[in-house]
Amino acid sequence: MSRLSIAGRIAAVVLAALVISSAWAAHQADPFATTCPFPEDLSYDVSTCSVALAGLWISLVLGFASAALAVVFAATLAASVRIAAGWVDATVMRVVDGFFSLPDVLVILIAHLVVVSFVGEHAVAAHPMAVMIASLAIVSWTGPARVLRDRLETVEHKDFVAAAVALGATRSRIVLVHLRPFLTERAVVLFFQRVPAVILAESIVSYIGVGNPDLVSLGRYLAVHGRELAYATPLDHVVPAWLLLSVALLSVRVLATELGRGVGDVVEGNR
Amino acid sequence: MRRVFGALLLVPAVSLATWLLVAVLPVPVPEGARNTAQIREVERQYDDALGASSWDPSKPWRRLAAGENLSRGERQVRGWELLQKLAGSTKIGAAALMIVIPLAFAAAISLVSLRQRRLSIVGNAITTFAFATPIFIPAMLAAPWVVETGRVRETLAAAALMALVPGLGLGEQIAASLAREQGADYVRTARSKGVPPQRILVAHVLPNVWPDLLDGLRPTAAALLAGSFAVEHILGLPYFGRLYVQAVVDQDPALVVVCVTLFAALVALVGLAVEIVRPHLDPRARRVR
Repeated sequence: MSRLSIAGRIAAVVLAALVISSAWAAHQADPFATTCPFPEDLSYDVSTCSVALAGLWISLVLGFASAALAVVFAATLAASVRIAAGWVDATVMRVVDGFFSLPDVLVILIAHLVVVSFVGEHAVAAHPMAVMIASLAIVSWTGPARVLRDRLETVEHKDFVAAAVALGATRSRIVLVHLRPFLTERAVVLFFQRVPAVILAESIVSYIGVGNPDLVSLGRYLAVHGRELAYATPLDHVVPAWLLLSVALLSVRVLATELGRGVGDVVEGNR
Repeated sequence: MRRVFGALLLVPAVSLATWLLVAVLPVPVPEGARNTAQIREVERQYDDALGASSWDPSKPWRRLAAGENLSRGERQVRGWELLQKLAGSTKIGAAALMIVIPLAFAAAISLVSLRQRRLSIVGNAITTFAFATPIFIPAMLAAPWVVETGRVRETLAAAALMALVPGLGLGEQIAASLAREQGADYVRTARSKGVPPQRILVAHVLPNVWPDLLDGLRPTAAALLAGSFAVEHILGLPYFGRLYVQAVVDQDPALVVVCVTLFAALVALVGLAVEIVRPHLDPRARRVR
């Protein structure tokens, strides 16, 4: 991939700083107690900075883990259906399109119901993060699967694939060996593109109260403080958390755009 | 026509898939049910609600048509209440969609104008914040003021608050095509003939931007649906979004199947409306047909 532009580097640095500070806030007891400029968070008895950053850590972990799971599954599915081709490809893609046309939040709620029903309430209480990651991943694979499958179909028409076919290469060898670089490069970009969407969807689901209340992501944090807005000012808790979420998501989006441009350069220039 | 059939086929496919999914789930046994008789009773109620043992996917719909209570719990959710809640959510969603379209055009025109004046940083800042803002944030910030007002204004406010973020997002999408059209030869010709800028925009440019707006409407409708869950929750509106969330939390199988199918029907209806309107607004779509 080509080198990042200045905007891409700034986004990478900001994202790294947010990941480190949020991980620190999540694993230490109130590290921003003396330095936080906002009023103390009485709902959690710690400084607003610490609890908001800890919430961001949970949102980021959920977003990155779910997006990674979803993109790996999508890449596997895309490769499989292109190897099978024919009616298998057409049928699976119709199912993917059906899934894709439904709103994320609608499907997340069903996915959550399915996961909770299979693992039980006790397991949900014990591993709330894993349950939420699974629920979010179930929703997020459809878009990447469609894009990756279409990408594979496009590059299958290139000359080097025709040469490989003429030399007797099987479909699985063509997809897994010759086309894999195209798949992995696009998958990395899709991963970064899915992260903000997953985090936003998770924030809505947490906001409406689905999932374990002990898992205080930024969505859950905003829900807790949204109820206080009748007698508290938004500048105390809501706006800082909103800005934090916005900056994190913007950094990921800029990185995705830059990486996408880099992938385009590589594909057009070197292959 | 193929796209219209595709949009309509989504509804029974989603209904059947949801029913199958819910039918194979283990029956959720409440913590209070300790002996076998109580557990069997819960399983019987669950099966009776869904028709799982007889493999009858039409059971929730027949119960709905017969006016039976769809909820397993103490709540009473019958056909009429369900329709009233659906009508409430649809009213808000339709109003939000009506707000989204002019808002998206206004945002796109403003963005292009800002970019032409070398103030693109302002436009980019607005749209990037819209991208990174969860859909419920405007509703949350406005809720204390909205709740103090009457019911009618609450509904309208819900629609406006839901429309804000998707409207700006859609505006950013169509700004690119608006800028492209404004730089086209026919616009330059119209300008050189002395046609006023407003007339060029309304009569020449916007008709060419409509197809891009139509492409963005279906995902926007899906985003509005997601927003309705949160906005109804925040403003305390007892409509369909809240009913669905409660059905999922309470693990009400029949209600989940009915709600998901009706939501899919709403999304499909928007898709259908777009496909019906498209040939009238886009001559190229007429040619393809």
